[in-house]
Amino acid sequence: MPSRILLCVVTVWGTHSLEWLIQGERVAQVTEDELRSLLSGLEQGLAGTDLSSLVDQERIAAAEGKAEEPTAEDIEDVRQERALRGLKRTSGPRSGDVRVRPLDTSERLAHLLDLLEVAIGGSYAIETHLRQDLKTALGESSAAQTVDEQAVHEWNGQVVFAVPAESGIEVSDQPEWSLPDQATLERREAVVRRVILLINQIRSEAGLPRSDYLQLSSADDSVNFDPEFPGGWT
Amino acid sequence: MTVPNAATPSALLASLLAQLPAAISATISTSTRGGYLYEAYLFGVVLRASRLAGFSVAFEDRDGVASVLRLRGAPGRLPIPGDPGMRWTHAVLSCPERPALEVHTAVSVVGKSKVVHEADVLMLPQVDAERCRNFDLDPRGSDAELTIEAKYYTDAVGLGEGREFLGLSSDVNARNKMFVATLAGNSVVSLFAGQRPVVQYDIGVLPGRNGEASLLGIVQRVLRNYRSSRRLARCIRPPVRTNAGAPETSLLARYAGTSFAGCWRALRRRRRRRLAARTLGKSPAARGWRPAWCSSA
Repeated sequence: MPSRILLCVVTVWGTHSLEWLIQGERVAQVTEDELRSLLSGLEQGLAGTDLSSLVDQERIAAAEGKAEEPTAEDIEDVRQERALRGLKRTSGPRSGDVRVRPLDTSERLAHLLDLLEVAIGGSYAIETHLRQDLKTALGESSAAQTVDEQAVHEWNGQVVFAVPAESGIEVSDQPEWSLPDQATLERREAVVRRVILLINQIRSEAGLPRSDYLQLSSADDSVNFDPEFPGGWT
Repeated sequence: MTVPNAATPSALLASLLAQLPAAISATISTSTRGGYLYEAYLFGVVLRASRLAGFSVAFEDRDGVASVLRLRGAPGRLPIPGDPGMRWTHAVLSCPERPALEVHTAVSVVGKSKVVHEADVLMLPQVDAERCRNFDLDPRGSDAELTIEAKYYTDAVGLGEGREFLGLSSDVNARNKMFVATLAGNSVVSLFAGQRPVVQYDIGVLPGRNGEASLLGIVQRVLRNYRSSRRLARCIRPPVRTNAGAPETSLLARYAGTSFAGCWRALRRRRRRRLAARTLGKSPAARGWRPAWCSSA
């Protein structure tokens, strides 16, 4: 009996610690310097890959900043300072007054990790689901009896992309390419899973939030997504 | 589930960077390709919404039903069908109540200023698409039921892109224009949220996310509105010859292919003529004419 209780305790602890590790609920223990070094390391690492555009995006977002309304403490600080200096009372900020400040290091790192998750997990999910989504869209019309609609089922599931001649791009620069088949995608699944887990772990270690845009939807369609897969990307 | 071992953030980062090359899809390794994959995904979302709105969906090209979905991987023109055997595919959305619609990806549309813009996803009535194909025309933005401007993660989505979309929206007079992105900075979201009239946008449109559910809902609403609307110009068929060889005399057939404004002017002219005839005592009613349903009763 005691061994059973011990087993239960270990199981519950294991589950919670895993969630705690993945969901990023842990309190930040990294310093500002460490965050800065993480950000610059990630930026440099991405610059050497095909994902260098993510760094540009993160820097643009950082420079454009974030609008903030003055807090009650800010207003109180200004009033006290003016009172100390003997200046006359000033009017408070009006509704809708904001200041735009650049993103700080932790916000920049959080945004870059979100972008990276989209680039890896999002792209993988698109490739995995696209063919099935298209088949579903076509399949429902199978009840129709016209010849044209029966011929819909002639689609062989291939999705091909090519450069139109009128685009002015040399076709030799960008040859035709197609959506990867299921076997290729399955081979990539393990590494995608590892990357998303690592992203979640970095978030957890650095106490960074995950964007709300990446939360799995509660709509009916999302039942096809495995919540056990990190980020629910498959 | 395999969980990486606990380690310092810098060790985790090193491990992440080592795994990245294998995780990136070979097909989207060049930055431009990803954007077109995203357009294909949005094309799929539009088709799913069509199905949910009760439309039947078929893939077609210039030669008829398509067996391969062949999409543009760079901006192209709707009237150019592609080489034989390698035709560009579009989707045809049909419903019993209204004329069919077509959905295309990466085609140019002409704005009010007669300047060409790229529509990442374009939904327009089949009548208009056929007119473009027959006369080698680029579709007018005002003919479009829906245009989607898509931004994949490879495109920076900053204030510049947001302002660009607002400029595009003012020139392309489509009934519904949407800005869709995988992720965007706070400033773009604030820019769109602060616009009046309201700008339609969705951020985080990715499989299984709230953004996708929201886009599905918007496209469904667009299609439901199209289905139930009573617009004239878009539902007019080309003039039909009767057995007697005389053209069909209905006003709708006579003004086939003209704009809504043209039809409206024609209807007003006809009403003025009838009023004038009635005041002169020469109205059809004065001559003893009755509609068919009245005489049969």
